[in-house]
Amino acid sequence: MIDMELTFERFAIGVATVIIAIGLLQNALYTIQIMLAAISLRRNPPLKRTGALWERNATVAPPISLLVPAYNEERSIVESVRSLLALLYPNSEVIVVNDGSTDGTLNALTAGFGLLPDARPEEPGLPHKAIRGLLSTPDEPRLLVVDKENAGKGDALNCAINFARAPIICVIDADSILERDALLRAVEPFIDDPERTVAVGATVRVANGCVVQHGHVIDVQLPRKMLALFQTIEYLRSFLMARLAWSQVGALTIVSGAFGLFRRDVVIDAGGYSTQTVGEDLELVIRLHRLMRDRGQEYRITFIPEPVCWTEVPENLRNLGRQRTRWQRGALETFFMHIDMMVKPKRYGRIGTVSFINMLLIDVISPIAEVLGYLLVPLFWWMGLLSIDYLFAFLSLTFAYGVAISAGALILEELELRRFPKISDLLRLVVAAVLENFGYRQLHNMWRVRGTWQFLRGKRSWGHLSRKGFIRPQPAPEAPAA
Amino acid sequence: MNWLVIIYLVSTVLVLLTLTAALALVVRRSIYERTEARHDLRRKSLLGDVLEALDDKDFPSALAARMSALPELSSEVLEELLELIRGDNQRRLLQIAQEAGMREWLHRRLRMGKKVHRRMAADMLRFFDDEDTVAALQRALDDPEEEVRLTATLSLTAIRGGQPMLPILHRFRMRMNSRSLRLRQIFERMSQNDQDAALKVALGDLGDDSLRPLAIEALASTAGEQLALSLVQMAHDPLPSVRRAVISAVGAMASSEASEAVEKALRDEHWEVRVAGIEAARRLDLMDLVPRLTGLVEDKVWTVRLHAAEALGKLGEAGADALRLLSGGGGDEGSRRLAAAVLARRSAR
Repeated sequence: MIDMELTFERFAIGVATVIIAIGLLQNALYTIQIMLAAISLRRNPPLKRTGALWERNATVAPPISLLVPAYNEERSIVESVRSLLALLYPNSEVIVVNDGSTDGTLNALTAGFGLLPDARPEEPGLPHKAIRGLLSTPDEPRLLVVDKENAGKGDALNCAINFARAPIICVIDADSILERDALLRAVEPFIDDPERTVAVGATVRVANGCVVQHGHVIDVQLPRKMLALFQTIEYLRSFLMARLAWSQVGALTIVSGAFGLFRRDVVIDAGGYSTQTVGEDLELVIRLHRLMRDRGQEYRITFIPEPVCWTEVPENLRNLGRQRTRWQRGALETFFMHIDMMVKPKRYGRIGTVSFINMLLIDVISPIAEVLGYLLVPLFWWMGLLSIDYLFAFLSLTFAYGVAISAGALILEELELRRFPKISDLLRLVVAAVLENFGYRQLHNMWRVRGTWQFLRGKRSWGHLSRKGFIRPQPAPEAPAA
Repeated sequence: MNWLVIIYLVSTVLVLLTLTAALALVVRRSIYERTEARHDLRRKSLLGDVLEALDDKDFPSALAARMSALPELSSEVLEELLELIRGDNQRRLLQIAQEAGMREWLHRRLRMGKKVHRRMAADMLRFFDDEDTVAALQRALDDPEEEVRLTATLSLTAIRGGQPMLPILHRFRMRMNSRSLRLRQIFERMSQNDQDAALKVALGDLGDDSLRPLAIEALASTAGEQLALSLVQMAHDPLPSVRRAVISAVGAMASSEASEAVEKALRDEHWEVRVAGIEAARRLDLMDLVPRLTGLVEDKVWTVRLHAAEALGKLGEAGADALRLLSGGGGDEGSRRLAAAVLARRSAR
């Protein structure tokens, strides 16, 4: 009996040690990321004036095809496309793919732009579901609308890639908003290193709370709801810290599906977007790494922080939970699809080592370990196996580190980019960085565990995500009649 | 000290550090906002004074003294205005700047500033056409940062002082292997100011093959018919990138000397050269090449097929007849569909 108790006690201490070790490793990783991101931002501060940017890049900027997959975007699609056509860029076209929408997306586009049937030839490059029709207008020759059967975002993008004529493609969500000079900024790596650059990622920021007019953010404000505010902090950590850091050491594995630029020929050579995963953006970038390394070609996949794409994030737990569960599933699907890259570090270099070990720790192990920690550590304490002093010490360290990391991302933002206009914004973000550790963080990990469970069960669908829509400027109240 | 104390100590330090940093951020922002507001006011006031002085031949020396006292602010105003104004006004602005000692200040910045400031100084110095500036920019060709070296080269090519460009380019390339598209800007400026040097680079005198296509493309946008002959001679160059650039250039220049070279380009083993040949045939309206273009609608590379079909669509009735023949069953499935699509678009126009 005593032997059994001793064994269980050793087991409990072992489990607690492993969980703490994983937590420490994770924190060490975040510390490295924040240092790398700071170095990167210091070395390459963004060019502030759009005029200077135009003078530098306009004459040498390569043509870009903007690819916009649209599914049930009736309410906003016309405004979105208009804003894309009005971007500050010398040579671009917009290809909208109506992915079998069940609402009036196609009608809205047809009426909004006066579209007529077209017959633009399609390169038989990537497979996709059947096309129902092509539409364009002589009034705006830079716009092409493809109407096809529904098969998901990856399929719609593959279809758009076939029709694109420019050497660079820019993938953008129909409900996202690009800043007017975003393309001019994002294209810079393709100008500076055109032969080696195959993909460029840029920052996505939370648009909830911002005022949007004619498809442009005209007033940057923080979200009013706490849940969206937590996500603002998360996006800062993810883009300004993690992606910038991995880009700095050549180990970037994700370019956001909401806004990313790619070399079209390389994407076609890689086989385009996968329709077998809900994490098609992550999967494509990893496949690009694989392709270039298998070919033994020098290449760059890079992230630049300043071009900004604004996106609306979920403001209720149900939608956010679905989104995060899906992201986790996508990450796991991709990780296990390409797990062989991890065991061939000689061939896949930093991608096989740094990136995959990071994915293993952050996406595969951490959510489970953290949730287990929250359940087992109190259980072991209740069983008298762990002291309450250590339990609280562990929790205090975890939370203190969480707050410090979020504050670090905020400091980077404030020192180099300063996109939040008011002092009160900074204070609110600091408060959010503290509060997110109490409830939101645990919930987030629960969703990720749910995603892991769905992955293990082989679930494939995207799930529905409803959106609220951006805030429009209020019209001035009419003067009362005299 | 036991583990518990260490953990609590680390946690407390982390929290204190975070709170201090957050407080520092807020204080810093508040100071920054005030400074920025002041800076903005001063900038606007200086900008207004400078604009006023541009209309006044005898500008007040007080303005030069003020600019001299605020070199950072003055450089911002200068940078903004020099992009916008031309001719006499630009000359007058440069005179004011010279009097204010801005040129020397920019020289110092180019020598000792941060990377971003050195690049800015190298860029602005292109407006100051004098020996000292040329020497300063030449020194910047050895800058540790590639971006600064490139900007300095660009500025040297823009200075109309008759600088011998080949040695500058040679020195620049010694320290740079980049394939940056910005290099094209060097040749665009060079082909305006020193066409002979640009032609020499195009012919390979610099010994750097990667620069030749860029020089050829730049020459095409500025050179006249007399250069076309020299370019056409390079259409048989062993390098496909040079052949492609030459064919594109003579197509863009609408050179009458080019038809034989274009015809040969349509049979080139490299698809990029074939595409350049197709585009040139279309621009030059070479109707004799319609049969050859029709054959290219069945090329193994899709981009070639597309360009060939679209070129036929623009080559009058002869081209349209060829497309009709193809779409009516004269080719493989892919070329039939391609020809039909181009015909449909043609009739819609």
